[in-house]
Parts: sequence; C-alpha cells; structure tokens
Amino acid sequence: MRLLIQLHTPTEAASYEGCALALTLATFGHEVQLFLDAPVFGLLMQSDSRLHGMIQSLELYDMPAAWLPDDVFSGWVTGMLPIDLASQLTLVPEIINSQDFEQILTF
Amino acid sequence: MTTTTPLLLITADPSHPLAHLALRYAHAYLKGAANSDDIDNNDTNSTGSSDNATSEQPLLNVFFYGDSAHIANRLRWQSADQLDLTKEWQSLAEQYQLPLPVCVSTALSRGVSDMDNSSRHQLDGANLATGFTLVGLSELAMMMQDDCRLIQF
Repeated sequence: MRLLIQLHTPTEAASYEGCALALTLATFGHEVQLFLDAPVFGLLMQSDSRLHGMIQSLELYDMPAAWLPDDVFSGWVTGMLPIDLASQLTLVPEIINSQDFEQILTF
Repeated sequence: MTTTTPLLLITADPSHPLAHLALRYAHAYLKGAANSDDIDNNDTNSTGSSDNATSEQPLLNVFFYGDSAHIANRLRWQSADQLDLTKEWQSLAEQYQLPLPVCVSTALSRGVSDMDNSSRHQLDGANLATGFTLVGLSELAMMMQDDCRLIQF
C-alpha cells in the first residue's frame, strides 16, 4: 500500500508513534512517504528526541527523504540540523499527484 | 460481488469526536454487512451450495493505535450522560465476533496493560478491558498486506 504519513502534532509521543508506524509499514514492504509539518520541527531539532533518531535512519528502511513544507522556515531548520539528518529531508514537491497515495494518515 | 474488507485505524482519543464516529461507522457497516450476508446465505441455501471461505473472513478489521488505546482501559470512568466507548466496542465485538487488537506499546505507555505484559514489565495489576487484546504493530502491517480499504479515525 502507498501511504503518506503526516506528522503534525507537536508532542514526543504523537510524533514518535506516527514515525514508528511509518518505519514498521516500510519494513513490511509498504511504500511510505513521511511529511513533517512545521509544528514538529522543535522535536526534530532535539537530538535526544526519538523523532530525531528515527528520521536519521530513514535510509536504512529504504524510505525516501521526508518532506518538509515548502517555505522559508523549512530552509532555516534544514540549515540548523546536522548534515546526516538534513540529508534525510527534502522540500515537498510543488505538484503531488493525488493518485500516488492510497491513503493519507495524520498524527 | 467482491468487496475489500475495511480496516479502521483508530488513533483518536476517546474524548475526540472521531473516536465516536469510528464506533458509529463500525456499527453501521457491520449491520449492513450482516444484512447482506443474510441475503447471500438465503440465496446460497436456495441453490443448494455453500462457501465457507467467505463466511470465515472478518466483516471488518479494527486496530487501536496511539491515544485510542485509552478505550481499552477498563478503569476509565465515564459519567452516566456520556457514551461509554469501551462498553460499546465490547458489545459490538461480542455481537459480530470482532477482534479488538490494540498496539501494545501505545497501550503500555498510556497505562493500559494485560497480565502478561504487567508481569513482563513489573507493573502492578492489569486493566485491559475484556475483548481487547494487546498486539504488536506488525499485526497492523499484516492486515494491510491484503488489498484493504484503510480508514483513519
């Protein structure tokens, strides 16, 4: 199944659970794309948060780079993050084909 | 006619309207599916053939994840004017033989545990409501292996 999982809730538990679901589904062969919305940037910048560690390991799960909103704040946060984490992030494409995903989950 | 079994991924806290909507959806879907099963069975009986494989398929798949794990807490008290989601799901599960799997890690992190996990993690007591089971997240991934219709509440 092709899924887009959006992380929006700025709590450690919600961001962890959304990301853990994404990694687990990817392990089982599902095609998962993560979208990190601005409210979770604070957690992403905390090096001891579980979200920080899991995004660093996206490549190990054969997952594509996580999408960030296409705005100035995303550019700023990417510049503030360590290179190994920033390399796992990219700006959301300008055009997204709604047929690319069978379902969109939000946490 | 073949239809894909819906999978309800319930993540909303029991106080959230979506948690109530999930229950209403399940109620309506199961009622409709049971009615259409009755019609199918009558048709099958009249032609003298049967297909057990279809009757063994669950009518609906449900998975409780994140904040919805609170629904599986048998000690969650509700005032009398509030809908008790825990009892409602238990009733639905009993009526339609519906499994109620809950993600074990999200349940434990919210203080919901069964006897096995309580002894494993040295927790004092268990409070998992009857009818609910604690399972790994892999169960959800397996449910999604088939061509299912996933709906998040």
